[in-house]
Order: sequence, then structure tokens, then C-alpha cells
Amino acid sequence: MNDMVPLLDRRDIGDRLSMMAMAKRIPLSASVEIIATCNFKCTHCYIAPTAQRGDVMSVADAEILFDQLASAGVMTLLLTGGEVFTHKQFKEIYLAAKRRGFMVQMNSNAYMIGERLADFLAEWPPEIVSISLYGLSDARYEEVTGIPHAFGRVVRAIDLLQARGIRVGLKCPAMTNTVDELAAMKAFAADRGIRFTYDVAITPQEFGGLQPLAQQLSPSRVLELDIEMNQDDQHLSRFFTNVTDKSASDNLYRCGAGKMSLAVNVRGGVSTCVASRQTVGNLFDQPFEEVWGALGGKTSKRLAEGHPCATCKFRGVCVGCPATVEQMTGLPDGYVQNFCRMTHLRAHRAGLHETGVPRTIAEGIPAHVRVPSAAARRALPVVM
Amino acid sequence: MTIEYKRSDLYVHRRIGDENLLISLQRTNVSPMCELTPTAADVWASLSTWMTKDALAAMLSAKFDVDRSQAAADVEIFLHQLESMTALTTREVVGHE
Repeated sequence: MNDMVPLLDRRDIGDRLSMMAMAKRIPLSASVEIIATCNFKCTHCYIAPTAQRGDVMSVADAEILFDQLASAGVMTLLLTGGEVFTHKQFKEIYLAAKRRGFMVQMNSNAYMIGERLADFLAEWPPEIVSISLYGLSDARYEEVTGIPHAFGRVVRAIDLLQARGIRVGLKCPAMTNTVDELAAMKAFAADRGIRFTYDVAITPQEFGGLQPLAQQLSPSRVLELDIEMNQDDQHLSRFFTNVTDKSASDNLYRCGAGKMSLAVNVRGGVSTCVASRQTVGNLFDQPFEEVWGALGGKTSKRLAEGHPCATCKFRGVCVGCPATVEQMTGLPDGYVQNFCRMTHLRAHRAGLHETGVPRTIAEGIPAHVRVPSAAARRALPVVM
Repeated sequence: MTIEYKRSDLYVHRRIGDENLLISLQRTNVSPMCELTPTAADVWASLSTWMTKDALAAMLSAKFDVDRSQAAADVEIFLHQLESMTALTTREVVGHE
């Protein structure tokens, strides 16, 4: 019997697990928000500004949750916040996750990572620490996060982690107060052999505060950004060709949410992903199967007849997804013209759409499709 | 003098669907995740307590109805693989034969 096959490349088992998870609806990955508060005060944040001091998961609750998730088949566990390293029992929670055999990932702003924490993570390595980068100077950092002298600490944290062989990812939300430095941030990451990503969709705060929307880039600025970030025409065309639907689908959720992934907030509430704050149940009050079933019910819905997205062949690359649309409109099957325009401009640049102008501009949006509130629309840049 | 084996608590067995995975909690000289056959998963489960090679072979032979010598050979290979990954601890015990 060939008893063991050491895997040098995890992609083969990863593909097999993903196929099995999608076929059998096994939640292969989960994010868990262990704390909602943060040491930063970012202008774009949709979680921490409305968090309460008590929005902290206890070690006992985390262990209850981890046992449920492990039994359900979760393999990859993302610990997120708020800022995870501000949790006073972070190490206990982290080790509780590691000892249950999860492949643990973390989101962080890295401000709290010094030598001791880096040494701890070196001894118990995560799969990756995904660090949000907010600029390349203390001044820019203070503008975005409200915290002085932060950039130097973050760079030191990155260096400490990399020196210990810990995998790091860097990302930045593309918004009005970071856009002029994104290309430089990408170069900064590349110099260190780190992958850099950016996201152009900004959403309101949990409970509806619209302040983050002031940071949203206009669709035309997003297109300029793509060019600045060396999204060359061939790359963009290849990307769009690979993911553009040959035939449009009315499936509302086209990602793994509710099929092979879920998100759990600090209070135990379950949603589709970290971008969605609307929960379908609570794992501290209900059996996992019941909540997972409810999530599956939500994510198996279809777009209503006549919905402008139901016949769109660019849904696979749309800037908006049900979670971000839900944050903007209150419903996952709403419609956000800003996102649509960005996607169509990209498609036009890739040579896959004649004008870059969505048909909703001329035809209007059906009355039964919810759009962002008037206040939210005023807070957004003009759709150009 | 008999050698007994026990699995290291720096590895965790996870069963995801039909897959048996051995996850390393710390850095190792091999992949952080290895795949186990169902038989290997049974042996790993047995190694939660101190076990001799003979006891493991007897367990396999009885459970899977295989020849005892074949079972012993397979156990030998598997334990060697685990040792190379530092996924085993060993001790010498006096008086067991």
C-alpha cells in the first residue's frame, strides 16, 4: 500500500478539494471576525467605525466556533477584524485554530507586528498574512488611517515577517486618497517579491453610514488606474475573454459563497463573505447545518426576470458582486450603476463592448430592481 | 528492548469529505499538507497512544484481512515516512517482546 503521498505542490489536492466541496456543498473555507474594533480609523472602513467595545470574540466562543467549522469540513480559515492583533487573546485563538488543523490566514494592518509576534508566527506559521497597505509615507498613512508614524512600523512588520519566511500579501483599496500611489505601492511590493492587489469597490458602513462613499473612484478614473497599473491591453483582453460568459446566467451568486465558503462575524452571525454584513443565522444559537442551509438558500437565488444583470455577459468580471451590491442597496440583487459602468468601460477597453456604456443608461433600470438610496447616489462620484 | 511509537502533536489529521489530510502545525522539511490513504489514516489514529510495530501490523492485518508480513512491511514504510517528517516520537521500553 502506498500509504502516504507527500504533496510538494498543493494545487493538485486543492483542485480536487474544491471540486468535491462545490459538488457536495462542503464549506472548505471560512472567515471568522475575531474582533470588530481596530487601532486604525480608516476613512473607507465599513466595520470598525460602528463597532462596540464588546465586539470581541472570547477564546471559549472561538473554540466552539472552530469545532463546528472543523466538523463541517472547513480547511482554510481566515482570521479577520477589525484588527486581529489588537485582540488580547489573539495567540490563544490563533493556536486554537492551528491545533484543529486549519490552514490559517490573517488580514491585518500589521501595525502591531513586532519581533515577538513575528517570532511567534514563525514558530506557528500561517498560510499567509494579508496586509492592507495605505500609502508609502507616514503622512499618507495618517491621512487615510488617522494614525501618525504608522508607515515605518508597517514596513518594519513586513520585513520582520519576510525575514522569518512568512508569506505576505499586500493590498490597498483603490480610492481617492490612495489612487495616486497605487502604482508605487505595486512596485514597493514587487521589490519584495510580494503580490499586490487592489479593489475599486467602496461600500457604506455597516448600519448605513455613507462616509466611505466619498472615497469611491469614478468609473473613468478606475479605467485610468487600470492603465497606470499596467493592466496592458493583451492582459485585459485575455482576462475578459477567459471569464466572460458565453451565455449569461441568472444565478445570483456566482462565487463559492454558500457553496464552499462562509463568513462569521464577531457575534457569531453568518453571511456570505466579509463584504456582506447581512446575516442568515447565528452559530452561537443554532446548529451549523441549519445556518449553512439558510446560507445555501440565499445564495441559490436567481435574478428576477427583466433584471439588467441577468443577461449581461460580463457578470463574471463585474466590479460589483451580490455582497457589495447588497451593501449599497440593501439587497444582493440590487443594481449599482457605478459598478456597471466601470465594468463596461473595462470591457470596451478590452475590445469586448462597443461603447463602454451599459444599456441601462439609455433604457433605465426596471422599477422592481432596487438601486442605492438617493443619499448614497449623491455620495458617489458622477457616473462617467 | 522494544521501540514504541506515538504520533507527534505537531501534526493534525483532518478528514474533508473523502480526503484524509495530515496538516503540519509548524515548519517541516516537506509539504505542510500531506495526503493519507484510508489505511494510513487508521494507523495514524492508532498512534494516538504508544504502539509497537507488531501491534500496528496486527491491527492492520485483522482489520483489512491482509497477510501479517505484508502488513508489517507496510507499517515499516509508513513509520519511516512519518519519522522523516518528524511526525513521530519514539521511546524504548524494557521488557516487551
